[in-house]
Amino acid sequence: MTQQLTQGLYSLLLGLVLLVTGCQTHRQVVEQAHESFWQGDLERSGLELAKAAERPRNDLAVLQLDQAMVEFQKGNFADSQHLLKQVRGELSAIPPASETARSAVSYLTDDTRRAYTGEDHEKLLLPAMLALNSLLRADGDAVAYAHQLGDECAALLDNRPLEPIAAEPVPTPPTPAQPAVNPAVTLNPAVTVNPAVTGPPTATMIPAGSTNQAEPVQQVVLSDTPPAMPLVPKIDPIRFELAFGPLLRAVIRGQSVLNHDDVIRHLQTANDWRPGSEFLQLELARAVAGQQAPQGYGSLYVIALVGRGPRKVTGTEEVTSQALLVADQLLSALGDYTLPPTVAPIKIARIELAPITVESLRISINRQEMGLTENVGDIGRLAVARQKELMPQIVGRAVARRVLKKGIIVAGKSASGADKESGNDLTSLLYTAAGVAWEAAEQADLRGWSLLPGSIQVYRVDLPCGAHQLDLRGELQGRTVSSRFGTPVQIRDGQATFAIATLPDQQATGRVFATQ
Amino acid sequence: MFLRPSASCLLFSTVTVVGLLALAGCRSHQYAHVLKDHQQDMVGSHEAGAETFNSLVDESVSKLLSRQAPEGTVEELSGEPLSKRICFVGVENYSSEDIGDFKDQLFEQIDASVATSGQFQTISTRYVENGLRQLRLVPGDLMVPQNMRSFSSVMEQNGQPFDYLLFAKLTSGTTESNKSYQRDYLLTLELVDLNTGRSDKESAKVRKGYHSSRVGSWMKYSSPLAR
Repeated sequence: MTQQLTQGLYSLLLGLVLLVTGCQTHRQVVEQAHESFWQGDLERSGLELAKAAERPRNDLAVLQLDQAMVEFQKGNFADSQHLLKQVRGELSAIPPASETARSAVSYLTDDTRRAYTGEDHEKLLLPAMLALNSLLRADGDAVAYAHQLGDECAALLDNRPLEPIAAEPVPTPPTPAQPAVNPAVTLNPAVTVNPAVTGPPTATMIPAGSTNQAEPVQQVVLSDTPPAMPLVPKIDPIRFELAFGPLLRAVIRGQSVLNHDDVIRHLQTANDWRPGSEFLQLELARAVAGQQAPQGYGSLYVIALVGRGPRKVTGTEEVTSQALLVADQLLSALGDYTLPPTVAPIKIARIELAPITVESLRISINRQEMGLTENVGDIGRLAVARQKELMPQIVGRAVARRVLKKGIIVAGKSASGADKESGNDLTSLLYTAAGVAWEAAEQADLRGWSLLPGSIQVYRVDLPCGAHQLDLRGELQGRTVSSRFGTPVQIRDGQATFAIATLPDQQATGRVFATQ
Repeated sequence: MFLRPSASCLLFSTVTVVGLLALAGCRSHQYAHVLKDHQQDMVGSHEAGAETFNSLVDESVSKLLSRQAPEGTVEELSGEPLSKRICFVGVENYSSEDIGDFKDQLFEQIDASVATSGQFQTISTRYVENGLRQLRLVPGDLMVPQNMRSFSSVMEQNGQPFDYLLFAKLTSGTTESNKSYQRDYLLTLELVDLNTGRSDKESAKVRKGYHSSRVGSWMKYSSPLAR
């Protein structure tokens, strides 16, 4: 019995080593594919992703999502849409029972064994990318994807584990550095360009007295005390970055003048979620006033996917009391276990923001500079904020796994008699070593849609009917950081034309595609 | 340390169950079925759905049509009753819910119900949309007399003259009671006579109760304590 157990332990150790080695190679191929994408080598990136997808490591869905981004960049919208729809089908096909089963297995291994159901920000970007593909293909499904995007936004907000941050007044630092706001530029009396801002406002950067202030707060200045700081409503970081959802819905629904009330409703939501946005405020004011492109003009919407999206890296997390509570609940469901009073830091997949290499895109029409795109959704910040909310669940699961593994090792020792004084020291040592190796072999679940853009940015301009040349270039802190890229656009009377631009990195080649 | 003495058997049984579960169906199938006419609509648990909107459309349209009986005008040649031409300019959602894809369906349901009544002849939505776009108007602008005249004239030029404008508006009212709430949905159809400027309104209402549990529903409506 003891000999059999010992052999089993050797096999387990060997298996763990092989497993870790195999995963490393696969991971390297995937990372190389991502690097090729950021450097603008789409062909190579596509080939490497296809190679990785031939032998997936429980990560086929995320590989297909990345492939969809490569195909989108290449202008293969049908292929991109096909891949996205395939993943959407796969994610929705994971039944609760199977998810439970795989989750249960993950307690014996690690979170990489869990069925991949997609991070919340990925679930939002899926219909958003489908809608953009659909606009460019003009297949008539964009409205349906816009509805799905609305459903995903609602689902995310409904399933928040914590109460969203209330809009309570918080002090802001004095005289925050404000981004420069360009004055409205006028081509001719009929063409008005939206003022663009150089970057998104943050919760602490919103100026007091700006339109985002919910209600005026009277300041009381007491003698012997420093001047009271202006108060502004605290912003919900998730909703703030989600504003692109209702905005895309408004823009897509707005193609029909009969949906005017829908447009106002969605723009109002976007403004509520992202107060202080110049673009959103102007669009709402325009919609409320029923203002449309003047006679003989049409609107050009530029929707830009700018910068690198978030990525997952292995990190450690302190075990909080909240996480211990979650772990206790999970263990109660699995069996008769008790929690230790403290647990050492846990290895988890932490969402990391990519360095900002491109901030926004400068728009030129017919070689005349018009303005900058404005950020209406930072995907990285959205992902980080969401992970922060879910952290107690993530850590709680890891704690439960650690306790369960230790429990199995203790039970094994007990069954083989190695825990007794008369027991075999070598067997006991092997058990301990196996336990350590078992825990060490745990890998953080780094699966994720890695080729997402850093932010979704927008720009709108009314132009005379006819052909125009749209050009864009990346900017970072007022400096041009990419070569110019563009496309001809055809403007139709009273109608909207969409140009979808992508610039993932300074080194990458920017691309822009326009609806016909 | 982590495991109570009696737990070892439980532990191994857990592992076995886990293994079996993992092998069991890792792929699901979604099922669907077509509802027969006699089968009831599904009732939306969080928002209005088919059960609300279908009733609202049926009731409001039939009420409006019954009030707008033909006035005896007949075609000169055929002698058949002359149907009035209606320009339906859309459904406005002023309720507290985002009705999503139902909005377009509401439009089509109302449009089709009015068209099949025989009393009215509807104008294609595409003409309506083009007419509004030509003038850079939105449906709400049509209540300004000048805009109404311009629109009517453009539609006439496009070969689509009309006698009436039809507006549909969805509103809601919510009453909260602890964790339960009642929401009343009101669909109002407003018919505006282009010649006289007179408007006629008809509404239909559906009241729905939302509860966080079945017990809550029972307590509110079926228990002896319910008022």
